[in-house]
Amino acid sequence: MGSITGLDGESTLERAGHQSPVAIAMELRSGDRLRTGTHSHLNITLVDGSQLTLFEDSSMVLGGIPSTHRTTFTNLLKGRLRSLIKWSASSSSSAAFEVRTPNAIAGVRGTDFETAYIEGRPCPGFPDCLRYTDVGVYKGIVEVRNPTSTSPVTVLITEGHETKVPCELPPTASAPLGLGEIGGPSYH
Amino acid sequence: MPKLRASRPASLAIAILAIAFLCEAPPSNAATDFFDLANPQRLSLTLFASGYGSEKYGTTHGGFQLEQTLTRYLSIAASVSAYQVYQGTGFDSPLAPASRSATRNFGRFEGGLDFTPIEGTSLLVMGGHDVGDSHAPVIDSQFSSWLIPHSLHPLNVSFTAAHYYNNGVTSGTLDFRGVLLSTGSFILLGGAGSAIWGGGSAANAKAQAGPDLGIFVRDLHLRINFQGGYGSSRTYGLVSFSRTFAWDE
Repeated sequence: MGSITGLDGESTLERAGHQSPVAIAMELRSGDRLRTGTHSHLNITLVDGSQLTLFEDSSMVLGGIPSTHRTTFTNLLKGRLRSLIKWSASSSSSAAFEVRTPNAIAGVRGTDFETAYIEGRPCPGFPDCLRYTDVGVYKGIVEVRNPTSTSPVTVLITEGHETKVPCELPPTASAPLGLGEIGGPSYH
Repeated sequence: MPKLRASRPASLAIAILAIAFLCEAPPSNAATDFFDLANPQRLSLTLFASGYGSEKYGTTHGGFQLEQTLTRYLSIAASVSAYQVYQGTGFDSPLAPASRSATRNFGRFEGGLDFTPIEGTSLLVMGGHDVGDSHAPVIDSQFSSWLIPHSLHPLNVSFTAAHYYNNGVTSGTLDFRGVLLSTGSFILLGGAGSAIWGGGSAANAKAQAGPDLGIFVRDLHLRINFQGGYGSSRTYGLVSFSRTFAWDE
């Protein structure tokens, strides 16, 4: 379903219970689990030309094509994943690519977005929730929902915006991406 | 001396408390993990430069600030900056003052702590010493907080407070800005800012205020801000640039 096209640092591939170091041009299959180490990241190019970047200290499992959806998906278990999806107007599915975390599903209608699954830190705005998913969109639209929530709320995140999915709660409203990098005007 | 900004410690405390009621609640486990080391640690370097011009005087300054996380809520910071102050009239450019101008140059070395009680809210408290034409201790603080962050147009309130022992001036600034537009490439902000200063060589309290426009370029991590308005120094204009580099450890 794709291959490794970029590698920096040390990463491992787990396939059918066996672990091996990741190498450039390595072919990937559904069910493969990839882990990146500290100061490492890797790039994956899917067969349709879409590109994924798994950042340091992250872990993901490549999915396949589930019988109920014609959707390619990845399970992000830890860390950050950036997805640059090749999107064509002829795609018949409303969500041809999904990034899943333990508490969120980000279905792609756009091209460039980043997903992070964070554990052990309080979700901003939800201080009692210590695990959350952050989805930020650079291009296109991403549809986000929490399959573990009793509230079936789906939030559409447009370019330049993000949402957080705290614990078993629905995604927060769309907000500008990357506010944490901006403080006061710092004139003095 | 430059347009130096500060306010009374009591008013600073009151303002912080007021903001605390408007922004998000701190994590319930904040007390228990306050001293836990952050993981990953982060080292950041911010380069900054700004210029101020008014009908009465102008200033430019630039420098860098290093910040290292200790815990999730606390970082240590150090900054080095160089100031140029152009007093009087007759200079065409603050970078090339004419002979009629009186120019003063000094460096500033500061260190301090940056508190981040919740994401999007920070209080930086610094202290240090000026070297050069200004040669005395200085203390200052910067507070910034995002209000209603889970919305399309969050609001940022920020203020600074400082006291300069060289001329005895205390001063403060207050800025309100909102997100006007957010795209995949940049964030555009608009609002208003003000400054008040007095005491020491400035004698009576002086103030200025005006509209403010800012842009944050995502790919470059570059912030540019403009402000113009009117006050005790008559018409004035401000521009600032800053760019941050960060490394997770």
